[in-house]
Amino acid sequence: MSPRDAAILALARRLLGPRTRFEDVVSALERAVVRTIPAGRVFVIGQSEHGPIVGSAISGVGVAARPGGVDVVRVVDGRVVRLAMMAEQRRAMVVR
Amino acid sequence: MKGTSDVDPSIYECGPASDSVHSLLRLHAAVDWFVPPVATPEDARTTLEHYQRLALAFAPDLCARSPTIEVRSGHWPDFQRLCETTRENLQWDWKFGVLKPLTKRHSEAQGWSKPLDPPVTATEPTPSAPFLRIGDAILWNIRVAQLDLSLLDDPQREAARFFKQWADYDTFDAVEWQLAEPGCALEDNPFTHLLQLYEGGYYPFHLAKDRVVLFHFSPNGPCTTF
Repeated sequence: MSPRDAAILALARRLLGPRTRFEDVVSALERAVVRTIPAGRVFVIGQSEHGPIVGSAISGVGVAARPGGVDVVRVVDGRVVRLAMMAEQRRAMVVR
Repeated sequence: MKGTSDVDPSIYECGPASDSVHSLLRLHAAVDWFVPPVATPEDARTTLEHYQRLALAFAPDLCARSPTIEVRSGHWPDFQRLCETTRENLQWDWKFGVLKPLTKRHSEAQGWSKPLDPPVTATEPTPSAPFLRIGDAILWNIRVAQLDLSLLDDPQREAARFFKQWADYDTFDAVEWQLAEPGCALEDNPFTHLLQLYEGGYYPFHLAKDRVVLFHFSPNGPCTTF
């Protein structure tokens, strides 16, 4: 991942705070891109079984929803490679 | 090497800019990448100078008045070295230092911003919509032709991917220019001339604010055949 992509994702994480919904992650990512890059753009760069993949048309780095959270992925030559976790829903601990 | 796309460029509904946007996307799709040129060096130089004039007229502080243009031919190792030099140059970044501020200024001058009411993305995106909304974020949904780089070896593939992705962004800048100013003739859109360079088989590397290498693959010697 390029230093620019890493910096944008770090800023997006800070803007996201404790929220974990995909819509919130996308919103934070867009705000991070606009703050970092003049005329910055966020694209729909692909589609997974859980919905659209959203990110950079340059690097292919983006975010994708999955059950229980959101991942950082890279779309390269049509393949989707998971890079890291972006947000994870907390689950209530059940004591039996 | 020509790109392929699962989307016909003419499906995008861009209002009064539709025709020009479709033309730009078709121009991009017609490019035969990383093969010897079809344009002459003189034509390529003229095309680059046309871009320079338009960019300079709009943003004189961003552009050099008379940059040195060096036309250079070579093979994959030469192209790879130019990509590496550009990537490693932390002092000067043409894309972020000139092209993106140029687009931003033009859009602001035209009072353009992304539409506030694009269709909502559910599980199935709307292919004809140039923009989609997810939550309160408005996303670009325009796709350009992609290359199958699997025929290249690793260093070539990395360089090709690096350059093509940035060239794709020139296409998006060209499209945004037309969205912001639908009445602008394509000849007056500076990014059109960058796409015409690619169509002619020339690859501009702005190594400094006032120095451009206009690279083309040599028609002689070892050259990848696709």
